[in-house]
Amino acid sequence: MADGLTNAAPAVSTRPVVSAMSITRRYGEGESAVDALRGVALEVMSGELTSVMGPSGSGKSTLMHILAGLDRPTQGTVEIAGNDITQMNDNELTLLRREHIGFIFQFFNLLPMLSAEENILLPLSLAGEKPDTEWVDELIGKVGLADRREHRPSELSGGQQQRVAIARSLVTRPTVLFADEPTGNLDSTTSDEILQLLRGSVDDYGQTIVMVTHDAGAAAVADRTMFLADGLLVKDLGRSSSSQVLAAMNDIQTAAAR
Amino acid sequence: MRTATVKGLLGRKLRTGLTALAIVLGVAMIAGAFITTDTMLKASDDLKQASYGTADAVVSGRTAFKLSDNNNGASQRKSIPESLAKQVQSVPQVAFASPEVDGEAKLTDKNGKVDKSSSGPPFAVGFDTSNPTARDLSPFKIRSGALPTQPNQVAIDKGTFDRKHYRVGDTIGAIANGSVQRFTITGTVTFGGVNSIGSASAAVFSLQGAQQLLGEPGKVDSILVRSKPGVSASEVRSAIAQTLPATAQVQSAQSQDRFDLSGLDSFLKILRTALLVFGFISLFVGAFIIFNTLSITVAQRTKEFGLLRMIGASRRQVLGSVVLEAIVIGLIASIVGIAAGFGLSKLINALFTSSGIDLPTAGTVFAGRTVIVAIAVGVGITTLAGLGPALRATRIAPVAALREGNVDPVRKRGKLGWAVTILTSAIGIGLVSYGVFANGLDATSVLVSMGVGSLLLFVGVALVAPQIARPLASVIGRASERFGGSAGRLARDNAMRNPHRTATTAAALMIGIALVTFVAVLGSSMRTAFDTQIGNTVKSNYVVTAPDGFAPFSAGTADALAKQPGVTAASVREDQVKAFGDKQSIDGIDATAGQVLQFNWKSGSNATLAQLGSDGAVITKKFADKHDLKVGGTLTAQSASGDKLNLTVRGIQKPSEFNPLGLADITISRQLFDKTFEQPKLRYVFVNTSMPEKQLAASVSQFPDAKVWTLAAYKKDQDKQFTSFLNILYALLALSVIVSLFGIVNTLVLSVFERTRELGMLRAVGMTRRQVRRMIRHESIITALIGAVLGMVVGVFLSALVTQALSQYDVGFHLPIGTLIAFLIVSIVAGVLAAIGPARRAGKLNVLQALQYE
Ligand SMILES: Nc1ncnc2c1ncn2[C@@H]1O[C@H](COP(=O)(O)OP(=O)(O)OP(=O)(O)O)[C@@H](O)[C@H]1O
Ligand SMILES: [Mg+2]
Repeated sequence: MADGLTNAAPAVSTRPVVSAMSITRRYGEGESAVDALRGVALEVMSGELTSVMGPSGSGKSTLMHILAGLDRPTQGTVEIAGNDITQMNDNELTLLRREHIGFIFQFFNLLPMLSAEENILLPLSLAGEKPDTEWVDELIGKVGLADRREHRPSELSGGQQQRVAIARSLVTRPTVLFADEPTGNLDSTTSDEILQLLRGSVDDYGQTIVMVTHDAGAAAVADRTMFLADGLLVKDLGRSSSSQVLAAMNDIQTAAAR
Repeated sequence: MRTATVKGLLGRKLRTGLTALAIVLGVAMIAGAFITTDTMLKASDDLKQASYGTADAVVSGRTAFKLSDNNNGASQRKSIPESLAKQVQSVPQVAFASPEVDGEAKLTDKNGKVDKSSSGPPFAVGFDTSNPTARDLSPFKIRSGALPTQPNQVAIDKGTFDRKHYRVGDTIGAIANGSVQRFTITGTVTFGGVNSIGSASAAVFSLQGAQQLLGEPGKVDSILVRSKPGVSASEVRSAIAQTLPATAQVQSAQSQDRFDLSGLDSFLKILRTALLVFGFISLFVGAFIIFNTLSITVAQRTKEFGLLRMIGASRRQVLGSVVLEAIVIGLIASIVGIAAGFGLSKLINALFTSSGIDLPTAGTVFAGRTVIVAIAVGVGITTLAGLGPALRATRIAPVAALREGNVDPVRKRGKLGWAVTILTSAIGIGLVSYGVFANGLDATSVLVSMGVGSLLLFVGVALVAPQIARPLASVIGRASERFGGSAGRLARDNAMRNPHRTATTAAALMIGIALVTFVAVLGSSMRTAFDTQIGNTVKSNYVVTAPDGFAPFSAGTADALAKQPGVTAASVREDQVKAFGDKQSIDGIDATAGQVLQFNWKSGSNATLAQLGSDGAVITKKFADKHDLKVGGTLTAQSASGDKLNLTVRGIQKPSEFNPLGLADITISRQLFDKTFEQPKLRYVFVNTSMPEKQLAASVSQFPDAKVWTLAAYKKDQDKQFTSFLNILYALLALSVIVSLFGIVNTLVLSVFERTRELGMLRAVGMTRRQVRRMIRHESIITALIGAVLGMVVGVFLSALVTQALSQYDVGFHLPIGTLIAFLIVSIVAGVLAAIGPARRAGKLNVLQALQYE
């Protein structure tokens, strides 16, 4: 199943920043045990937007959590920027997250009592780092919140809140940014804007992104799309149109139905 | 609905438990107050029963009135000739008449030091120990060893014996009026069925030994009578009465009450009231916590209530379910509280013992009343506190079920709300002011009006607190931001984000801090005033008192001191008389008093003190005003033995209202005093001399019941006693502070629980466990400090009012800055302690699960 993983991707990338080696994840024990991942190996290339697709329950979220060090695999190892994260303790993982990892969630998860700008600066402030004002201004301009800096989350629309979350995840210039259904909670117009924003960060800053999505349109923006089914990596497409992605999804679903 | 409530409570065990704890302590205090004092009153009853013994009648000297046992009245005795016993014995209805000596004598240990471990009264009795019926009639029973048979032997109470590690055969001293006499210990005694007789000690002598010690050979104080079989107590009494001379009387043992314990009983009743008051304070604090916790849980269950309403629950059912929750919590808390009250009663006992107040003990008394009151109060207060949140729950609309997330309903204060807030505070301040400023109120009205007023003021401040909490949190939070980095900053934001919650949590602590501040400021003001006033009155450089500072001591001390070359000594002796129908203290002073004491004269001068002669008196202005007396006027005072003193007023003086030396309203010359009272005892000797302290002390070494202090040391000792009193108050108030700690814990736990997903996100974007814990800790400290600041403001305000009212007693307002800073530090520590559990919980959250938490 791991064959052709790298050669299938277009050659924009230079080196892998995340690599997973034969990871499995089992929930529970005995009879009722669920194998959410049953041996997945992959590499995420620097400067690429990688999307992960698959039917509900196929293990996408589980995979992403493990790649990001939020969960531990039952077996196998994960390396981020050359560090084996499966052996790290909580504190080391936290420090790794600070330095290398950004998150975008389906629910925006902003702190209600902080302003948009304060939310964006939160990871830096937790790490005790001084913000690079030029970069922060550029970022806020890029996500289109220049006139919303002092607003509280409750005063922002869903799309605006997700932009705050994106800016927050980019502010530390993480090695890799993980997004679990970042547009899952938004209407299609807003979704498109958010996807363009993610795409833009890859093109303009060489940001590496891994994005879980159900939306073929979203996958079409990606440099590469990996398909999960029943805990296994079953397909790995390069840049594809949304109809190609849909066709691949259909294949997978019919294969599963058989 | 009812099952849903109970299941809900069970499902939230931790929360229910924490909420209940807030009430448990208050209930425990109330139950403890009842159990402790019931037990002690029972012990005191046993003591009385024992002291009456099995005697059918008691013959004693006739007194004009019964002296009260205030430790200062010295010549409590009016003895009768021992020969009267033979006469009583010859009455046909009498089976046996046992002459007995009852007095007081302090014991000195092997080193000749007076036993300070018991503060008295030091009972000393003597009877015919060789006669079995006499032994049977006496309340003192042999416990180990033997009763004394020789005049130089003694048996002492088991408490003292054990405390001082004596052995049978040891020699100890006893001192009554003259100098120390030595006795050999033959054994230990108990007083009836009671092991410890509180602070009292007891020594049993042979009849002759007691007579020698108390300085009255051939005289006794009472004759205990056993009647012949078939003769009733009243028959034997009337038979004896006919034979007695006018100077003697016969009474039942009850009414004669040889070992007067009414002082103990009234002390216990005051103690009970005090403990109940502190219990209610704790419950009051607990009510805030119940209110707050239920408010938070109602807010967190908005969706649930919306859903219940949507599927058809009526407002009434919603109300019922929250109120039922409160009742169940109250009931659990009360039951646990009663159990804890048992433990607490032991603790209270230990507390008093360690502060030198030893109280009598007997088997624990657990009255039905204790249970009823504890449950009624516990459940009642919890239910009352739950009413507000319950009403708020009924206002949740069914659509709330459809909204995203649970939100605290926005509580906007309407005009009415403000009116209530302002009115509550105003009435509170009004009542306190009325209590302290109004003239002619009795002590109870003053205390009640101050107490109720303060409670209302607390409620008023708590109602305003949400408005102040945000700016206060912002200011106090600056420090957190400084010391806690970004975790500290988030803590500050968290404390500000729900000012209602922060304010109510802080308000609970405010009450405790306000009360300790009040006590501290008032204490410090009074102490300062006290010191100044002693300085104004006492012009000698030495003061001689009993070792404990207040007990009466040997009159011989004054003469021994006066004999020393280069010494000016003036003694003050004290006893009781009846004047204008009231029992009254009376002082006798030396002619030299004017040289060592400065009175504040309205008429007369220090010279007047030397000219009192055999009928002159100096009285206080208060006494003069009350009885409309002027210089040259006359009054009659009757001593307990019946002697009438016709006194002429020679001077009127106005002691500071505080009367720090506790001097009497009537002062007569020493000569008249000694003529009137059989066995005068001293309260003070004031001494002026250039002699060093050691040498002066050596000159009275034969009186171990006297202690020489430099004036400074005396003041310091008085301060020490005052401080230990304040410490008891602090310890009792600490309970309400502990209760409010549970409130902080509760709020933190609920907030952590509510912010689970947020905490997950913070951890995901790089917050370390340490930072999470630090954030929660700072939230806690900020809340605690808000409470402390509010409390100190209220406490200082209240004490300023009271000291203002006390300015007529020359009490100024004095801020004990050091103590107040200590309270701030205590508050910070309290905040840190309260945060330990919740911070751990928050730190241990699994990031992934927290993120997925709904
Ligand atoms: N905490 C858990 N305990 C037990 N089983 C779990 C747990 N989390 C996920 N699973 C199971 O693991 C499998 C994969 O779940 P996962 O959430 O990774 O799927 P997914 O691809 O993200 O699905 P969706 O598209 O619905 O989000 C599912 O069968 C799920 O039931
Ligand atoms: Mg998922």
